[in-house]
Amino acid sequence: MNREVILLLFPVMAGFCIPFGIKVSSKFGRVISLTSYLAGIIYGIIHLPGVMVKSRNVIIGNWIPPFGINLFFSPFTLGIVILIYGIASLVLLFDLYNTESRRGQYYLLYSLFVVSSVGMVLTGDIFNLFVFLEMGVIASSALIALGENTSGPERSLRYLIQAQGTSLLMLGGIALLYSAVGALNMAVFSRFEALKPSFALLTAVLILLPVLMQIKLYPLNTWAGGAFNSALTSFSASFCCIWATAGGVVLARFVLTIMNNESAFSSVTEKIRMLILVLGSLTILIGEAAALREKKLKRVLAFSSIGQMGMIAVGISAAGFASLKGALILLLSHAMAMALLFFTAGFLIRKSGTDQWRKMKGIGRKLYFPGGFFAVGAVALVGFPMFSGFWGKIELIRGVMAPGGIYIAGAAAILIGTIIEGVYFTRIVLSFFQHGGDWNKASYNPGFMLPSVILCAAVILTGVYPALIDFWLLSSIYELLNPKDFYADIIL
Amino acid sequence: MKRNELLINIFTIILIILIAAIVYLALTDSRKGLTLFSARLEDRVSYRYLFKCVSETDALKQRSVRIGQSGYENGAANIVTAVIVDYRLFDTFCEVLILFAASAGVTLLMEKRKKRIKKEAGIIVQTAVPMIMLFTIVVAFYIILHGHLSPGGGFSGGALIASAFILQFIAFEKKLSKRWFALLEPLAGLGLLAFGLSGLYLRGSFFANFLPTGSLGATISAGGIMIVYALIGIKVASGLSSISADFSG
Amino acid sequence: MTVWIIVLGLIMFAGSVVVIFQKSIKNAVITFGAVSLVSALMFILMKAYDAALAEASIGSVLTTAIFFWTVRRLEENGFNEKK
Repeated sequence: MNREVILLLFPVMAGFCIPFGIKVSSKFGRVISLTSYLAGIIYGIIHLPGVMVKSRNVIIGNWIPPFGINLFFSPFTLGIVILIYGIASLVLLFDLYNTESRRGQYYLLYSLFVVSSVGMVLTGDIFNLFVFLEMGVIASSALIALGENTSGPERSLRYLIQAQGTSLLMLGGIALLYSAVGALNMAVFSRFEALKPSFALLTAVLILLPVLMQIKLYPLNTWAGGAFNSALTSFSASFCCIWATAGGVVLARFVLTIMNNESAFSSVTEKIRMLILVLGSLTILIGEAAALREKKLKRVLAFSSIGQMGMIAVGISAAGFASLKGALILLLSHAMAMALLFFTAGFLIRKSGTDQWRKMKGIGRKLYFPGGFFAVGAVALVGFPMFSGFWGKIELIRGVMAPGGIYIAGAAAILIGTIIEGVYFTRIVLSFFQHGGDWNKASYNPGFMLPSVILCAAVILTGVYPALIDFWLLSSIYELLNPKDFYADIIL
Repeated sequence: MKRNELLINIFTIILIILIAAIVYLALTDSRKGLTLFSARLEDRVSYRYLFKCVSETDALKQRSVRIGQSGYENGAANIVTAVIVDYRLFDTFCEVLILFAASAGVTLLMEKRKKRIKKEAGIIVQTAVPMIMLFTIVVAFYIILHGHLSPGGGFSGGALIASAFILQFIAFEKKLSKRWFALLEPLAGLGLLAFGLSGLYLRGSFFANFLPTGSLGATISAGGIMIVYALIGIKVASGLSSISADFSG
Repeated sequence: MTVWIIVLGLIMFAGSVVVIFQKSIKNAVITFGAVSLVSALMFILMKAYDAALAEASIGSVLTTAIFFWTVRRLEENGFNEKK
């Protein structure tokens, strides 16, 4: 049976029900969205043990994979999907208390956004992936435009133009690939006769472009700062965590599974990895340097996220056991810590009435919960010992150093990026806890406290006891490094 | 400002020429390996779609598809429809969701017009539009319901219905309420979802075609394709109409 | 057949260039609609009738109408392209 597909359909159902429900009650949208994400988490956890034993290939329409579309359920994808649903429901919890009521279409678009991220992670068909990507782009550009200030539409348009342009190029790449291979399934590409080197490079770059853009890699990330700054806090958080996590998974899928040594792209595997390495290293340096001299709190977080995604890209490009382990831990830690940071940043910006972190001097002395949460998120992101980022950074640097050669430069970039990150986050946290500034005490609602406490606990737990996710990490790495045994053979 | 603009233009043109040269070189490279159009027709997945033998595991058994025969795994005489609405129905479903997202986004962001400058359309337009609308909608219904037989289907037919409504929006100030479109669209979506889930329940796979396929080329044939295309047509028509209703005020 | 396709392609190309260098927005929108009509013709020549239908209704009706409604909204808020 192929019942697992329902995992993808919970938010779709919620989305279709919302226009009717809001006729009855204005709270219907948020309630049913939250319910659908919680249902997704529960359904995913129920299926996790079975998938841990053996990955499942879920076919759609009873057409077998090279001809029909399939979804791939492995520990890797299912774990990421549970994470996505988890963060989506935390964001909605935050939304429940911390914003004025929104129109039903907001929740509808948010549901579609979550569906598209989940679909990108699960799908096994490259054209289907393109369609999901497009869906996410449309939904998220509408949500960015609904910003807190008037520059929302402009930022959204900027994002939309870049995203549409790159996805158009991806469509061209898919067409080229189909004309050479004659199939659209990613498992087919992962073990196929080699393409001509120049042609392979062309198609690979065309296909990778939108993914590189969505995870904000260097030449294609000019939209990021403004978009994150002007979007609503809850959407910035989800856009940063959910969408970038899904993008990171897709990048890993492309670089490691479809463009491996035995695939159609076998002639250019090294070149593609080198490209990702160089772009990732540049992204780290540029993103962190931009964050260092940025004044607005949410923009700092956006640039910091850019730097983190660069590190993840470098880890993926090194394609070793340790580097992948580091990249995956960093992916989780980035998602959780960034959500925490955005929540607290949104809370602080709303309470203080300014979006510049220098003007929030001393705010942590009165509002010690948000200040403390911010500090926890920051140290987790930077990678202090006992927090989730620590293991990620250690393994990442160790793994990226291993191949030697130009990869040493990548490791150096990660190190430098981490140091810069440490500098600016220390500066911000210190300024929050300085003397001075008179702030009123505020009451905390459960919508702020509950998600923050959960995320804090998750960040600290994975840092103190990393063996908790070890099994998931191992099976994910095996799947990514042995695409033949753990991916293609199961699907085809 | 002016000088910068010129520089940017020149830079863009050089960049485009460079990219074109790279693409040309990549496509006309003479080294060994697969390249553009190197997959023969028989190797492509679309070949199996043509001869309707995807489910057979061994080599192609059936080499001919004839109008009037029955028992094919997919009963659509129109090959494009067979691919869009049966073999790759999930993609189509997601594309419908994209349209849903677009119309919801427009509804979310568009404000009502505040200062209205009223300009009525002329008498010729106002007389002609209802007639044109009638014909357009009739043709659109034909296209939607015969999607499995003749070119077209839910998307083209839905767009035609939407263009009929756009003509109405242009000609008359008083127009159909937007509410109906906003409710019709998710209703059709729920219908699609119900179709998919009944396929999952009855045939063990989401969007499996659980109705009999009938004989190729008959009006009532191809199982669920007719139903799915009708739902898609309603959804596309109401989505595009809702977008244009939002824009027109 | 091929000759017609080439001729129509040239017309489309010329139309797109005209759209870019058009001074007035309304004229540009009309030209744009005409270009998509020509592309619908092109689809018919290439025997893609369904794509032609969709292109004719979306490209020349829907997008043109949406552009004009946007221009109307702009004009109602004090935008005047002659200035």
